[in-house]
Amino acid sequence: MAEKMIEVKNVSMKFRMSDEPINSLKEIFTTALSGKLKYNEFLALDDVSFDLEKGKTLGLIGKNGAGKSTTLKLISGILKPTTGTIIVRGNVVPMLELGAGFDLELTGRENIYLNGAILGYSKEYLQSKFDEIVDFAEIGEFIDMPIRNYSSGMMARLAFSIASVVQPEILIVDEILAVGDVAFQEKSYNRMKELMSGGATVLFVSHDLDKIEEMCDQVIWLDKGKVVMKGKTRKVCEAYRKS
Amino acid sequence: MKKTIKRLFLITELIFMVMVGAFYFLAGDQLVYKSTVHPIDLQDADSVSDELISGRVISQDFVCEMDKIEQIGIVFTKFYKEAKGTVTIELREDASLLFKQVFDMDDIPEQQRLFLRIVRPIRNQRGKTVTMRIYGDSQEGSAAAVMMNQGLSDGTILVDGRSVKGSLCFSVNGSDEIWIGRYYWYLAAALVTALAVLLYVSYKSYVNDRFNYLIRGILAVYKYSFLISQLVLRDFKSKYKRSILGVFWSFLNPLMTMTVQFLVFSTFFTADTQNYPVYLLSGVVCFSFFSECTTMCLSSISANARLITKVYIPKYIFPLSRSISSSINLAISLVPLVLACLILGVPIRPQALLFFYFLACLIVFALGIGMFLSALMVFFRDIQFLWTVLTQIWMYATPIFYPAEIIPDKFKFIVRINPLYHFIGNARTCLINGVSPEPSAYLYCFLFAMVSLIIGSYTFKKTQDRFALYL
Repeated sequence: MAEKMIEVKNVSMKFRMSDEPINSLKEIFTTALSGKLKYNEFLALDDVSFDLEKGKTLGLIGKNGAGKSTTLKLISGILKPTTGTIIVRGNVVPMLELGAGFDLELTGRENIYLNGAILGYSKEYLQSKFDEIVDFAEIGEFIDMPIRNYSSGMMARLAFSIASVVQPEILIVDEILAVGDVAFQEKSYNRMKELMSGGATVLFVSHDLDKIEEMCDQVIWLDKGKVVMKGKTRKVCEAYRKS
Repeated sequence: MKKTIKRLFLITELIFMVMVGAFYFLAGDQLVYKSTVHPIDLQDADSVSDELISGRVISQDFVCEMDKIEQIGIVFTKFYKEAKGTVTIELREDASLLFKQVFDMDDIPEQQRLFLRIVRPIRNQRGKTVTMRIYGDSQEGSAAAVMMNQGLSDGTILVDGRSVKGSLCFSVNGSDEIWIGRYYWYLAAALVTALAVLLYVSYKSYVNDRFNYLIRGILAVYKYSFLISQLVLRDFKSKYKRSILGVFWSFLNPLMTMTVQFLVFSTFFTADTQNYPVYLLSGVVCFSFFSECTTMCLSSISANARLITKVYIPKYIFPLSRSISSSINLAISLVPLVLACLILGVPIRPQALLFFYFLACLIVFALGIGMFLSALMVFFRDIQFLWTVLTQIWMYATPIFYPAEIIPDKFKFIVRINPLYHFIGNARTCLINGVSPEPSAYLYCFLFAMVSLIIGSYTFKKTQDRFALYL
């Protein structure tokens, strides 16, 4: 039996949501005094369990607000579950929102190092892969320009190149394939497949059922924080289409 | 990795030993003595003794309650006349002469204290009675006399062997031994051993793969050192990007602040402060570091909200990297401080090295406060405005542009509980006076820094899991 890279056991995630965000002392006092300090508890995930073996690709499907992104954030360690346990073995590269660590004032070159450091790459690794990143992103001579001058497409391409240059053990992807123009989308899609065939364990979120069917071994269908169905890709996708 | 840790620990131990040894020599006398708690204070004069004509001896006994007599002050009067001759002052214990000095009349100030610096301090007299004998060789009419207090004092003065009620107006100052001086090397050995044991235990638990806070910290720093250096670099680049003078601002800023404050306050405070510009500049440099560091840390989490909700990074990295960049700024602003010392003629003695101890404490203190504030900021955005006001208050409550001595006694407790006063005040003692503060100052500063760091990191650790939900 293959090694389990991700184990999620009975995980629930509860958000406390006040009707309006309370961010200041004054608001706390006024709402507390008027007795309006109430929280609506919102269960983003309700007793979710699954595990994923090494080298397999798992797709997550469901409507907006079903808990897909929360699941990814829990696995990448950004959020801590309210109850339940999550065990992740191996280094995780999250491609949640690309370029989150970009600093607009810095040049492309400086941002490659900064963003690479944020994703946990070492200095030597970045130096050796630097040209590859620049080539893949098709940035060319703009590399030494502050990225506030970049077009949004250039920025997205650079971000994708930095994130995908590693050979991660666990890759977490949240619908980022729609990056840049058609040609670059094709290129990045191929890169993703390359990473997957390189033995990476992948968690993949998309609304595009065709992509899911093409790439995933297993699928979990989430709705309102609950697992509706999990299993072989074809079976789950069929059931999801019918609903 | 095993080898690296081993080497790191060995180097740490060696550096610590060197520092403990160097400290003994840098701290010098301050490690052995502190100014006495039983000085003899000067009494107000209400009368005058007999004139010190040739052959007359005036003497008074006092009980020495200090380990070392260093200075004696006596008030004479010459009756506002031209006086001629000399005055001799002796200190005796029974038959043995402890000290003797002869003064010419011209050196004796009119009704002000004449200070006798006892160059080879008198030791081992604690609890004994010391006799002070004063005699002169002047002619009647041109002799001096000693000022006395007869109203309040119930002592006895002997004038040519005849007793007279009252006391001479004199003061005795000196110092007491402190135990640290005597036992310093034992203490040093204990500390060095304790560190060695700690490092050895940590190393062993690393080798045997057991959990250890120290090892975990080192590994985390090692793992994230590249990220930290990138974040620090970013702080610097984006701070000075698009400004013409760039990094020069780091040392122009304190200089300009100092100049402004100097122009405003110099008329009030120069008289009672030794080297006022350096006094001011050192205070400004330290305090601007503190306010910059805490303000930068304050926003470190909320400003990186996009990152924290998208990628997993240990969150303490953000306040830590901000405080590192502030510390680098501090190091840059030390350049003008050193230049000012050289230009204004403050001799830089080896003791100035001790300055860095107090700076280190200040940095740790600021980091602790910064972590606390950054965690608080996530939940209460109001803290950013409140903190601006609080730092203002804190600045005025700390003797930065005014000397600590002008604070009235009833408010002295404010500076005594103010950690910044301890850091800045002791740093100044090392830098400007070139002497070490007394050993307890090191302990206080260490404790202030540690308490702040513990409170800050504890609050941070307790709340960090909820950051992503509130950002």
